[in-house]
Amino acid sequence: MKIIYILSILLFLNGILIILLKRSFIYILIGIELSLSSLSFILFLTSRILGNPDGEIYAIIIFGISAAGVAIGLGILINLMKEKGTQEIEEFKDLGK
Amino acid sequence: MNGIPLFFIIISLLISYYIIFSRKIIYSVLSLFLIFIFIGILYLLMGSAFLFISQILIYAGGIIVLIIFAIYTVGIKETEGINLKEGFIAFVLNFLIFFLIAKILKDYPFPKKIISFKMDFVFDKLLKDYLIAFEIVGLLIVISIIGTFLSVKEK
Repeated sequence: MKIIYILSILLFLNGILIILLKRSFIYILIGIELSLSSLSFILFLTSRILGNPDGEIYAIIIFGISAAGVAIGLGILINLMKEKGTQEIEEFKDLGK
Repeated sequence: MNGIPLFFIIISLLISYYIIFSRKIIYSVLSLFLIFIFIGILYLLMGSAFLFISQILIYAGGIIVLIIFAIYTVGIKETEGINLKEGFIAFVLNFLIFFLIAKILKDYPFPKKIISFKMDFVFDKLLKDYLIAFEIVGLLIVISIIGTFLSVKEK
């Protein structure tokens, strides 16, 4: 039980690693989804360990939030491809100017 | 009982390392699909059939299809690999944080048997104590869909 909990934390950290290391917008979305999914699993396990159903409720709420997040992310991706013709995030440094 | 969930979580970890080192986007998305399925199976093994169905429907069914649709819409296939120097530092930090958390959790007394709840009890609590949060999430999804539609629409 303990080792599953700890390894699911490593899965969450790997999602963060994908966000940090990859240069592509799609990979950042993949990283966000992976972290949110493993985070909801961690919350679920916590609720099962502590005997409190709050963690499961948070997991259900995170499902909704990640669905909303991917919808917004793909809208941003399509707009960026229209604007710049690429999805490598190095190209978007001048968007704030 | 403990061996089967361990197998699925280790396979998910290996697939997540594949995503980090892979350059072909569509293979990474399909690997993510496998990870979502495995996490869903873990929910089932831990005794929550509802979260298993939700995981399969929302993540594996909805989000993956949306991402694949977007990939084919914008027509991207390959990306650059990771920077080796940055990657080394990030991996070292990743394992450092992981070992720190593992060291903290090492002495925590985990129960031998997990405690399961009936789903009607969970939903009773959700619709009584967390009703506003639940409604706000629904509103958030509607707003995000409308916002995406408005921003993608031709001007």
